[in-house]
Amino acid sequence: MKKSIIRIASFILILGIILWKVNSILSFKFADGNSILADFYRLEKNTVDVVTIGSSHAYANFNCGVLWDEYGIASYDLASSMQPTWNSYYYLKEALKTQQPELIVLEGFGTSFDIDYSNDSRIVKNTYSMKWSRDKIEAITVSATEERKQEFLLDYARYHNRYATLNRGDFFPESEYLDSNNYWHYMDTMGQYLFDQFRRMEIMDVSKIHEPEELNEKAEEYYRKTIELAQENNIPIVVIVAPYALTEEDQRRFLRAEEIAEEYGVKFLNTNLLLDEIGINTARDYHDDVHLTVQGSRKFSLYIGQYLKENFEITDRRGDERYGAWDRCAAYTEQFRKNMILKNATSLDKIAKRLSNQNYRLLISLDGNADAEDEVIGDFLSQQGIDPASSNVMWMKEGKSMIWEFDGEEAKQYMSTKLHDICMKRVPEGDGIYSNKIIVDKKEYRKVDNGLNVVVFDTLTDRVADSFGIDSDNNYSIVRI
Amino acid sequence: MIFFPVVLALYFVIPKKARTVWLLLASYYFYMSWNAKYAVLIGFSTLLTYGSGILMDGLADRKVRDVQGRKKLILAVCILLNLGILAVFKYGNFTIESVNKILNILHIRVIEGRFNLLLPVGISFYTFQALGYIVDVYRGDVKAEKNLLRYALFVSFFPQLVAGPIERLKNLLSQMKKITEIKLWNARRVASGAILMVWGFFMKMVIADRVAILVDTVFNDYRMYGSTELILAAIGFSLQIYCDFASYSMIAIGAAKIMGFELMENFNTPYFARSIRDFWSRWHISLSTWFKDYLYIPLGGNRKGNLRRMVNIMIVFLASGLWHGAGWSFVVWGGLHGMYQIVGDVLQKPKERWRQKFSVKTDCVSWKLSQMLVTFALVVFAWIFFRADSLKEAVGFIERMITRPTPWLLFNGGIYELGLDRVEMNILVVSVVILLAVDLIRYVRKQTLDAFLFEQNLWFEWTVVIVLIVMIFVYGKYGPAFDPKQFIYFQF
Repeated sequence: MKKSIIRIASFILILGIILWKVNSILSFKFADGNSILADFYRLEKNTVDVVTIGSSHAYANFNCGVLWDEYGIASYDLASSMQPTWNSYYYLKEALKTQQPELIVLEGFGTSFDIDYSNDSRIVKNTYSMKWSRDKIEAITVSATEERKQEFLLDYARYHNRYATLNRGDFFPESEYLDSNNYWHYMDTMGQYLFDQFRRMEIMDVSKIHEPEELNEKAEEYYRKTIELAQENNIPIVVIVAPYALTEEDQRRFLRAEEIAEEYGVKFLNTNLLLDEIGINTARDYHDDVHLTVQGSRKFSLYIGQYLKENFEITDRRGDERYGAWDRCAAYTEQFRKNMILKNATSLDKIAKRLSNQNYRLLISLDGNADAEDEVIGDFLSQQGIDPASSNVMWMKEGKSMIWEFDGEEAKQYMSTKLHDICMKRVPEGDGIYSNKIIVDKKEYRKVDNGLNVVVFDTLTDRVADSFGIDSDNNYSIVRI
Repeated sequence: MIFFPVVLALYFVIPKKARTVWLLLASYYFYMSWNAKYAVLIGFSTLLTYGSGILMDGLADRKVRDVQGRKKLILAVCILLNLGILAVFKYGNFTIESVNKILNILHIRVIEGRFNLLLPVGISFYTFQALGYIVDVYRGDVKAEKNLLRYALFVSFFPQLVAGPIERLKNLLSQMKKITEIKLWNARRVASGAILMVWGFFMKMVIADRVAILVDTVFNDYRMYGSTELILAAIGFSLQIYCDFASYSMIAIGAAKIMGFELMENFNTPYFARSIRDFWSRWHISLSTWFKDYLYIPLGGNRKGNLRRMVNIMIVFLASGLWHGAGWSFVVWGGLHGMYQIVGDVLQKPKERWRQKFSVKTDCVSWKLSQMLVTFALVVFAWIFFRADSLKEAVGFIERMITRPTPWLLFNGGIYELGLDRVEMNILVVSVVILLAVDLIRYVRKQTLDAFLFEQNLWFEWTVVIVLIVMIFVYGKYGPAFDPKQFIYFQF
């Protein structure tokens, strides 16, 4: 009897461990929701000073790197895609279980929502990473309709069949990865999501609107509860609406939300009325209707950091060794911004200057009938410290040092970074002709047939920062597509 | 998912004398969770057969005149009433439609109206089980059960209530009589039952519900497909119905075993059968032996000459077809199997001569394999009628199978466009290999999975069970993205 009990207990234990692991592999890890909370749980206790809760407007615009670098604010964007106020409330509850922030920032977009329930994908992104507790159950039941609550509570049943979409992040959730929606995740960005492509935006002037409009009943209820929760915990809270292409109706609701904030003696800042002060360039700082690029979020966060410092007491943590993660976040964010500038540079001269970045590894190949001694190409190569007169046709450089160079013969070289595999090779095509190949993670980068093909690999963000061709057939134009 | 552990936990905790009542309550709760009204039907059948049994036994004891005649009368009334219920609920609309068709031909006004009844789940199973009992009592093979609660539990025992196996009084009721002697804890028995349940869930959730996607895709739209897809779908359905039906029996056997009851084996590697007769000794064994005991033998079996034997075989198989479903395609399915057997018997002698003439070796794997393949092909062909929505659809399906060859789809990846992509198809193939291995163990070593695993080293036993459980959790078809299919045999 005793023996069989031990046996069964051991079996159940092993099975339990395996199923637990299987569950963690299969669980959703959407970068615009689930992984943000999952990463938050991994932070050292009581290190975050400013917790920013809200929707994507929070994680795309509140640039934690800039807030750290410029003001020493240790902040975290505890946000999730299209987060309604009821999920903000439960996110705050969750945050207070492990952190004692000096300030809570509620991004105010959620107050303008006129919905009573979330859609399926948003329920998943806003609740599924919460650790099991009564709060998680409440967060799910408040998000789903009465008939469908149970369906969402049985979370495993919803994601067990996503095995065909598994990728690196499912096995190594703390690494950098692309989620199943192709959103990128990097743990040390403190919840923020960085965009590097911009779009020209027309932003409506809402400064003339003064008539408030009632909020959705449920949105208001949880908006109030969020403020009350912060105040019950004696933590200052501020409501900030980040820049986006808002509508007249949104603005009316923000006016009402501001009135409610004032009832509680809470500051309310609608930055859509401050675009000029912040210096937002509507032509280049928006990624889309509702998110800023990393350039835009930098400007926005410089302004916000100043505002927070002036209005609240926030400790400057720079130099504290417990905050190494924020140092990495700042370095990463800044490098990401530099990469964005490089990627959007269109003149060869500007590109050449940007390439002197110490983090860049350059992979260059001279292709087709292009001649290294040709003036434009020769100049570009010289700027990169390469002798155009040599017989080489492929080069790999890191910083100022040359790692490899190939001449006309068949050759290949491999290199691996933390997460990527790079290959440069010359392969025979028959009849004594060779062709060059630059391959990163099995993908070949080749923009022009005749000219220079350049791949810029950034070792800090561990990704291809840019790839372009200099087309010698077409007046040395820059080709990126 | 919660029902069984709760029932089991209390079953082991409550006083031994209360076990029968507890299981009976659990069984009725289980049944009523489909539809509370069904309980009236099963209750009526139970009381009817119970009462008839007692009456018959009473007659024998009181030595009244014409005992046999009266017993016959009771039996006839009892059978007619039971079959009557079955006929109304299961075959009512089928009968009306069939009569209408005939009347239509004769230009007579068609009968209006239809029964608007839901087919009670498991009605064919428990009705047959109860009928088996009453015939046994009539024949004097068993004594009538006096304890109503125990008898009610025999008819409604929840593990096998809705999809078999169809148990016999001798086997199950005698175990129920000793219910108080069942030991609370027997690790091997419990583990054995649990393994069988895991295997059942694997067959159902990983294989049957997965291959069902391909089968449904093709069968529901068969006019869009050619021979390769149609043959694949027919083979797929053979796999689906085996895994679906056998899984339910397996789960029932496992669950009963955990509680200390041994149910009869219902499927024994049917697709390894080397003849149609062999197939029926391996497929839904509890039903085929039921038909043999209570229909074939009473009809005279093979004691009344060759022609009569053939007629009897046809009657049994047509009845079996009708038992499986109220529709002409099921009758044709049954008829085909009957015909296969009769033709097989007729060809027996010529085949023997032919074998001798060409010196065909029969004591070798290749011969046995070819027999299996031929039998399997015949069975698959018959399944088309079983699965098709109507007789007309089945004929259309077969016609396309012959006239629309699409062999290239086997090579150019076309088979991955039938509802199962490469990943799903790979999972299916791996699962079927596991199924084949388990069936081979049963076939060659005559061991069920639990018995085989107990003979192995612990690490292997645990690895196999854990792999199966993980596969069910991950690859099982369940959850909101996919409506788990009802066990397709529930309504037969």
